[in-house]
Order: sequence, then structure tokens, then C-alpha cells
Amino acid sequence: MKKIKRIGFNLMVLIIPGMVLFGSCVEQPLEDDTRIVGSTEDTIDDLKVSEFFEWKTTQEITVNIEGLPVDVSVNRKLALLTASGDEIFAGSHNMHEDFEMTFDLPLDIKKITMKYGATEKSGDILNKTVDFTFESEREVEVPVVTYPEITLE
Amino acid sequence: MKKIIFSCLISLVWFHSFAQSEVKNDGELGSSKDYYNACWEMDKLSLTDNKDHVFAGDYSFLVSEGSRNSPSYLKSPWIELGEGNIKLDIKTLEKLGNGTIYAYFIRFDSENKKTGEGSDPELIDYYQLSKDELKKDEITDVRFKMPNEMVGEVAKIYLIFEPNGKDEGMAVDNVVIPGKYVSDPSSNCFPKVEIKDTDGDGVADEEDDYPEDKYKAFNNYLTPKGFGTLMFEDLWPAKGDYDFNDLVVGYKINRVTNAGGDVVEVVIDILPRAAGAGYSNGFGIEFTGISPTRIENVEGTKISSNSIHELMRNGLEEGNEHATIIVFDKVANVLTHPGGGAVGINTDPKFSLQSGEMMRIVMHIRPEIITTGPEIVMFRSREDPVRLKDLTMENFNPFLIVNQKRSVEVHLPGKLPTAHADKSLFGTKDDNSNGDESSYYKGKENGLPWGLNVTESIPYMVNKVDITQGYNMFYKWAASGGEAYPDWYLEKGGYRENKVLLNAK
Repeated sequence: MKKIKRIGFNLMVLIIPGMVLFGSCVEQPLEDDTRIVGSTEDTIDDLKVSEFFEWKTTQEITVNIEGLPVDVSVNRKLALLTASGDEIFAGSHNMHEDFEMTFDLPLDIKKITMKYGATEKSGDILNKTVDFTFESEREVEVPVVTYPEITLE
Repeated sequence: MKKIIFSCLISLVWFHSFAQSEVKNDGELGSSKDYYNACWEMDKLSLTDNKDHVFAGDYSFLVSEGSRNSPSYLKSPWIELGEGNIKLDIKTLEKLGNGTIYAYFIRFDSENKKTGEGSDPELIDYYQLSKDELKKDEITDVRFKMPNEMVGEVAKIYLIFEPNGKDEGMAVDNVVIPGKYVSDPSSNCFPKVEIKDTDGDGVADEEDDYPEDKYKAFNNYLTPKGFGTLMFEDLWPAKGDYDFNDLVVGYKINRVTNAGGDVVEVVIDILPRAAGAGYSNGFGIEFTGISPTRIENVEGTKISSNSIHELMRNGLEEGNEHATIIVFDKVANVLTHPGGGAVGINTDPKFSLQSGEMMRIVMHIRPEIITTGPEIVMFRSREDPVRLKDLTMENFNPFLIVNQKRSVEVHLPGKLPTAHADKSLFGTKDDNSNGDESSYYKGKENGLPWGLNVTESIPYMVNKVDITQGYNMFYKWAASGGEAYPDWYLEKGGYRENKVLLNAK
């Protein structure tokens, strides 16, 4: 009887740490789901809201554009748009000047597009900010020249 | 006489400076990328701040060994070439044998859609650096005379550096080309083109929302997705039934700016959609922070002749600290009751939906016109100009006026009342307004508001059905303080119960 008890004890000694160890290997979500799983019978009578809640359906997004470091005398329409093409800003802008403006945008907008002449760029909203520059790629050609005949003087 | 002489002198100075305009590259931007963005191009030519090589300012260009197949070059932006000499300074470094600098010009070719460059660069001249004449660290002033036939032409100057020595051959600085910079970095560095600007406001017709009006240039909508939706309860300061349909209006606000970015008028489109109340409510908008004196006039409101509101000459309501428009003083002025015993308008599905009268209200910002000559008119406001940052959602303060009682206003949560509001009502019944700005127009017990603003056009509730029953995620959004389901109002699977929603447009 004592032997059986000892075997049982030994098994427990093996199993319990094993359970703890394997239990820790259970996959955990990387982030908590912020969505609250409420009762399907949530009613307005039960609803209590923080006094600090602002009831906004918009977010403040700041768009920054770094101007060129030299004055190239270009002043034309700068347009900012949502991914679906809705314009959120239009105005004249000097290409050598920086731009910064904050917009109240619907919360589902995740991307902003900048249009300036032939330049069109899209940027993701990160930390309520989108940053652009006027840098752009263009075709570059190395001209083929005819060299003159030179005789050293 | 003195005036005439002075004018002549000014003209001469102006003409002289124009004639002497130059395009320079002294390397002081310190970054090849910055020069590329400004339409310069280079290869096998690097910027250096090595003090052994720099001979003017903080940076000079350093020529790497190039070959005729792959030359070391500097190519200018498009320039309307002027008279004079192309100038550059060369500093010879160690181990330069002989060296040659070639100057070419490249004509513009509109057929070349990639770069606009003509295919046959034409030689202006070349300059030989002879090892017999050169001394280490000596600076040579190299000049190429601009050919007369090129003056006035749009071209690029293409400088090729051909050192014949090994290792470090030469450094280059202070490149000066007579002429005017005409490249447009916003158009792939092609030459600037003459724009058509009918109204002369400096904005090209194709980019101008008002090409024939010099005082207006751009539309800037506060709600980019079209109409937003304002929904109110009207029993404040008592708790309502939370169907948020005692007044429902669609709104679209366009802040029209001029070429300089000043807001010159605010165009407010209002679509009355529903009035589920027995009360005769009114509706107003305060633009917080905008002084009433800034407004020239307001047009398009619907105010009864026997209105409770007193208006200023400019159409704003009298007695407010901030510009306040009474959009309509009685909802019956803009929405027709269906009759037949319906309670309210457009909130009971048993009755046919009434079309609201689309209203356009235009608020003109006051300019002060100063005429400086027969052709030139300058605008200067008495105060700072109104900018877009002055007219955001923060400054948009719409409100309902309850049942023809001017002192009873219902605002969106966290918005402040106008000067006409009866302050003694705050904090009474279910209202939590306690002087702290964020506390205004929120429920004492539950924190719920009496008004909602959604920046899209959404359906509203049928009468006596609270909003959580039509918008399934509203509860979770509100209870989580906005963290969960911030898109609660969208038409997504499981988000709406359409049988209790109405959508009068």
C-alpha cells in the first residue's frame, strides 16, 4: 500500500510540473482584443459612459510635408485626399516650404494621398501622423556627346 | 521730377538684376539628393566636406575617375540661358595628370517624354588643365562664354570632367550659369510651362475651383465623405428616450479659400431630415472663436418674420461672443408635417417620408478692400485672416433651440452654450454640466449625450426606439470610451438593424 502511495506521489511530482510547463506553451494572443464582448441584450438603461469620453467619430490626423531645401519658385495646388479619393485639403503651396496641418477625419481612414503636380504619394497614418516629402524619382539620361579632337598645347 | 528719376533708377536696377540672373551650384546643400530634387543631375561627382578638398564654403564637389563611356558629369536643371560666362572653380589635387572640362548645352525636345532632352548635345567649349601649368591646391577659374545664339533658349548645361590622372584629380565649386531657373520639380523637372490663369489670382485654371473668380480658389470640405449627420434629443436637461431623432439634419461645410489660403466664405449645406418632436425646435451653428465682426454677411437662412431671434445687420444672431448663425428658427419652415396624426416628421415608418428642403447658407468673411491703383486691389482684413485651422470640428458648435425658448439650447457633448443660454439650467435634472468644459451636455448618471455628430450620412432611429437597438455596436463603442467599434455607424455585417432605422434624404 505504501508502495502504491509512493508511486502515486512520484507520478504527481512528474505530472504537475509537466502540466505547468505544457500549460505555459498554450498559444496566447499577442494583443488583447479591445472589443468588448457584451451581452446581446445591452440596453440603453444599462449604459454608463466615462465622463471623459468625447463622443467623437473623428480622429485628429496631422499631415507633415518637408519642403525642398532650395527655392525652386514653384507654387501650385497641393491636394490631400483619402484613399477613396475624397479631398481633405486643397491650397496653393510653395514647394520649398514645409507644410503642417491637422485634420478631423473619420476613424476608418488609414491612408492619405498627397498630389502636387505630377507627384502623387500615399502614406499610412501612423501615430495619428502622416509624413511626406517632395522627393521623387525621375528618368535620367546620360547624354551621348561627340568629343572634340584635342591636341595638347 | 525727383519721383521720375527715382522710378527710372528702380527700373534700371530691376532690369539689371534680371539681366544678371544666375543659376548657382556651390555644393552647400551638402547632399546630392537635395540637388537631384532641385533638378540637378550628377554622376561620378560626389559632395565632400573633407577639408583637404573643400576650397569654398563647407562643401565642394569631388571628381571621381570617369571614362568617356561613363563620364563624371554635372547636368544643370532647365535654364533660360542668359548672356555672360559659365563659370566654375577647379582645385587641382594630387596626381592630376592632364585634365579636360567640356561644356555642352542640351536643347529641350518636347518629343522626348521621358526627360525632354534633345539627343545631340552641342559643344560650347572645352578647357584643358595642363600638368605643366598646374600646381597642387591651386584654384583655376574656368569660364565658357555662352554662345549668343543660345541666349534666351531653354537648355541644360552639361559639364563633363575628364581627369587623366589617378586617384583624386580635381575638386569643383562655385558653378555659375547665366540665366533663369525654369525647371519644375513638381513636373518631373520638365521646363515650367505658361499657365492659363483667367482670373489672375496666381492659381492655374486647371487647379482652380473658381477659375473666373480671383477672390476664391479652393474648396475645403470639413466632412470629406459628403454629408455628415447631426442628431438631437430635445428634453434637455431631462433625460430623453435616446432615439436621437427629435431633430436630424444632414450638413456639409465647405470652407472656400483664396489663393493665399485665407477662408473667404463658408458654404453650409443643410438637409433637414427628421423632427420626431412635438416641439417647434430651431437650429443654429456657432463658429467658436470667430468674432461676429469678422463676418460680412450671411445668406440663405430660414427665419420667420415673428422670430424669437434678433439678428445683426450681417445676418448673424445678435448678442453672441462668437459668430452664430440661426439656420432655421422653426423646423416647420424646412420640413413639412405629413399630417394624418403623425407624431413628428419622418420618424414614423407608417407615414410617407417628407423631402426636406435643401438649404445653402453662405457666410462671407469680411475683407477690407484697399485699392492701390486702377488695376491692383489688395485685401486686408481688420483682424488676422481666418484660416482653415480656425474652422475645424473643434470650432463647429451646432445646437438645437428647444421649442422657441431661446434660453434653452442643446449642444453636442462637451460643447459650450452660447451667450443666450440660461445658465441656471446647467446641472439640473439629468444634466451634468458643472463649469468644466468637458462636462457640458452629458448625463449626470450615465454620461450619455443629447446630441451626436457623425461625419457621414447615416440612417436615424424610428420614433421611441433607442439608438442601441438600431446600431448594434453603439453600446460597446460608448461603454468602451470609443476604443471598441469606432466604426459603429458604418453599414457592416451585423452592425445595423434596418427595421428600426429610417433614412430620409
